[in-house]
Amino acid sequence: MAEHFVLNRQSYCKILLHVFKYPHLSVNGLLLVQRQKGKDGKTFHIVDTVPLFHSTLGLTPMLEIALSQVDAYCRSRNLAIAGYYQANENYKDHSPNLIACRIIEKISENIGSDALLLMVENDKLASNVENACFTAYTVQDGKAKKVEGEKVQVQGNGTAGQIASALLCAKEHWQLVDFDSHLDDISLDWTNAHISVKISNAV
Amino acid sequence: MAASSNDFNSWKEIGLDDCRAMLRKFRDDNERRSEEIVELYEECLDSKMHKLGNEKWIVYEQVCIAALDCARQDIAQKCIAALRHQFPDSSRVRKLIGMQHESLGSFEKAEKVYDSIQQTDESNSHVRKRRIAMLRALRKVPEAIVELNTYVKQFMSDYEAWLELCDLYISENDYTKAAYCIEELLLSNPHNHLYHQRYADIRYTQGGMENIELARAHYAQAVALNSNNVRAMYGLFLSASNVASAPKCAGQKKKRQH
Repeated sequence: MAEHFVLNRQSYCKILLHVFKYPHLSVNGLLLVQRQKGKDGKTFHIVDTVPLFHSTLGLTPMLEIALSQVDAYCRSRNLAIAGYYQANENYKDHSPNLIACRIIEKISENIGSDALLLMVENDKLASNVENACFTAYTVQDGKAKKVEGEKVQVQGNGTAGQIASALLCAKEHWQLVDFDSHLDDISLDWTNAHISVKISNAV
Repeated sequence: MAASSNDFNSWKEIGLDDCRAMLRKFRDDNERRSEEIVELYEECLDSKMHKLGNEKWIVYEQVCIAALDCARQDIAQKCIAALRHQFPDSSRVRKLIGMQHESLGSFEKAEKVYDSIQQTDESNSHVRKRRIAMLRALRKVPEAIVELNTYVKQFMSDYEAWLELCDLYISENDYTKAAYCIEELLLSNPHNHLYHQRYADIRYTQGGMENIELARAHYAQAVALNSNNVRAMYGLFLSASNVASAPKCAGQKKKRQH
């Protein structure tokens, strides 16, 4: 895979807010890219994330519902689901499990190229170096393979981490809505438009 | 969840009664709101514990556990000291000391504390659950499953334990045994819509026409018990669509069912 991935500040901050909101649980979510690749034809720009679940990640019915709803949302905005992130429950466990690999394989089938798997490194969340907070993988033949560090980057030269810290201090992570919360109360908006506005204003 | 986070900015002015009511709610609902509990303690309770009367001991315990969760060893130590002073021989307080060791990563010391509690009281279920929690923290999931199986044989009515065992089996992708755990819960709680919905989720995940039909039946029961269960409604829609679009050889069976 020759592609390069760039996460914008919004997607990076939303992943961190989701992890901060449920520190004692495993969480997962989807990465959305713009349908057109960057000018060099090889870069995928991850522009948004949809936080999905914070309880048992291994059950499929609600995952199927979430994927079809997010897919419909993407089509209306010229986006595509091109990746998945997961933070495991255990502080020191960053390895992709079977569920993560299966989901990535499904996403790869859908977009016709290798999807990106981001595993959050729980013990490096306090790090100032943004790329250290996650490890990137792709999945081939059911097995996860690490992607070189330079191929996945966070936009902004350190500002994304500062914005995430500021949002954490302001307790904005409690306002984040994931798909699980939306299923508990349908009026809650899983696109987190209110959080996106706060992140753009913080830039 | 949204309600309390909206209240956050006003916690500096929160009255003692409101604070007590919130903590009581968290205790009754058995919710893990550690960050909020620690902040409520710091903003409101720290200087006013003497006004709580007899409730203060259970609040000390609640704040201690929340503080251990948030790595606030200073607050946890304060709570443990107060509880130890009041209840010097209590195994409940010793369990908190064990949890303090766990939060610092000293699992051997915690094990020793739990061993000493169990020697004085064989039937103490809390200590056995802490041991299983330690195995889980150490990522020894198969061992945790073995211990938890032994535990539920003795404490069959502990619904939390059955749910925990179900979660452990799901994390090991053993859906059959996870379904068995929920079946045990359904036997004693047939009117709980959440158990029907969870059982249906597991059966749907297993796949295969028989399992999906079973899932459809349990989703339908969950919706009948609680028409506000959105997951059950979505699940009913998914499983019914799957059954309806199954290949023609199953059509005879479907006609007979209808």
